[in-house]
Amino acid sequence: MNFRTSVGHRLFLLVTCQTAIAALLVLTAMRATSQLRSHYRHMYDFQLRSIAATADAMKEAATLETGARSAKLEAFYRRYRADWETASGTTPDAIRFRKDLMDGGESDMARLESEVLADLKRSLQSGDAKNIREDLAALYTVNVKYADFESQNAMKRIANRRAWLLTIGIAGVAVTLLLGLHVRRAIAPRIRRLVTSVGRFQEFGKHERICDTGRDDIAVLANALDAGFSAIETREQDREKFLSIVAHELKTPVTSIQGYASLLVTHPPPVPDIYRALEIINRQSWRLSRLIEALFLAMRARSGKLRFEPSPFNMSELVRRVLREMEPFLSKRTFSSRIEENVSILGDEALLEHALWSLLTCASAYSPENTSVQVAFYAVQHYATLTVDIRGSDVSLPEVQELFMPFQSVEYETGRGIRSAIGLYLCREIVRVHNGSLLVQQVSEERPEFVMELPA
Amino acid sequence: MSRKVCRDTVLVIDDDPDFRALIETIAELWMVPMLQAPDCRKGLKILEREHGRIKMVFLDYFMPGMEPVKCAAAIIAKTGRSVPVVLVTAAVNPGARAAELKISRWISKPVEASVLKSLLCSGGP
Repeated sequence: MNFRTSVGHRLFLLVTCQTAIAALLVLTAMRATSQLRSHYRHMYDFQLRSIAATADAMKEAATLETGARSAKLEAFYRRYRADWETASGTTPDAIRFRKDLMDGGESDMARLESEVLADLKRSLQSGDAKNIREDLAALYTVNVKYADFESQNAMKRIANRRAWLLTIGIAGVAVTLLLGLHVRRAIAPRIRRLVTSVGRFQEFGKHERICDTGRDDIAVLANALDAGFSAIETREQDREKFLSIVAHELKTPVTSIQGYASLLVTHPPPVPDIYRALEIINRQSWRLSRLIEALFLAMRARSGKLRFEPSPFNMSELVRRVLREMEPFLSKRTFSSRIEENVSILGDEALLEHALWSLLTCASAYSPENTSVQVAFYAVQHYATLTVDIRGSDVSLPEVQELFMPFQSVEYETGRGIRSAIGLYLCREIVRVHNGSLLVQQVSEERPEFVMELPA
Repeated sequence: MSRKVCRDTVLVIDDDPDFRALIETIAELWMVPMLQAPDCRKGLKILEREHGRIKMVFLDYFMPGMEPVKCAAAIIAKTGRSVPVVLVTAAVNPGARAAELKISRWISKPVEASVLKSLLCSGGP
């Protein structure tokens, strides 16, 4: 999976972008609030207090007589020059406000303040009450203009911050919307296609390949669904084929049984060759019951309920008996066996008989005509081993291995027509409940060999 | 049941010897001459040899050797449309199989002896 184009990465980008925009908005708002606070403090400490002090000085000057000196007014003058003078003050407020005045093109106001302060100083020194009152009034006017300028300046700055906040907010919403749309366009149609495909499969049982050519996790999901649906479809086709083969295999012996039985019912003896009729009914009934039993066991094995009733028995005898019983059913094929005597195991004899029939039938089905199937049975180190060598067979190893899957079958010619044997799924399950193993291995080219191992 | 004599010759092409034996028994009871073959190739040889004598063909679907469609086409080409060919099969969907082989008559296995007898005698299922 390519992480760079994954759905998770797209969503991560979207969330990161939204978070960055929100953080930018918060920072801008905090800066604006901080500037507002700074403006208000400046207005109060630097402007309003100087206006109030000047007003107090004007009250003091109103009662001053010519030639008299006022300590309060002199103290006001010194305080003003130290704390509130803009024109040549050295406080941070004075420096900042002087810069604002310069930026706002109002440097004349500072020059006026400087002149007024120089006049006030001379008037205080000369004790000219009238001039003091006029100078203080002029200073008051200058300070009111300062406050007015600063107020307008603060309003401009607030408006500017608000415009920034709006711009960032709108840009942020637009970018988020675009990113969201991009993510939606990149993901939603593909998810819809997946859902539609699942729905169609549920409704019709047919799978149309989704074919998502992307390289992200949705493509991985689509490919997994394709593979899963394809496997289900194949299994379903295998099951249908298997059922039709089973139906055919069940109907074939019933045809002879029902045909002869209905003939004997509607046409009492003497029927020509009645012994042959009874022999066919008997043989086909036996074949039918064996097939039904195998199907029943396979069904139980599929649901994991294979009943296992072990007891000690002579496995060598069982192998020999099954080989003997199978001979009449083979055409142009024989078994060549090498069986070690008296190998006993603890197992379910009836189940193992089915397993042997199944394994040897498949082996003979794959074996070429006029070639004997080599069967060997021996015990080595607490294990009983059965090997079935189908030399000369043109079947490939993967083809044989497929027989271990459920619903597999193999067709073969018996000399009594084409027969189908159910695959080796049941056989493998029977061996598995015995804690044994069944596998197929390539001994050499054109020589696959089944190996069954059971604890002895 | 009274024994009736039906004298048309039938050819049974089926790889199951037990089914051929069943038809043989029924044919013997009703004195119907019967020819049989275990696969299509041998059936065609009999058709070639006994052409004109055979009045009906019983044909199985799954048999070793030739493919069913080729087998049916060869038999129809040999017999002509006047000789009925009846598909007798244990396959699922015998009707569909018959249509595949371009055969209009079919019966599904298993089948009652009476149905086989009526086929042998009247010539139609």
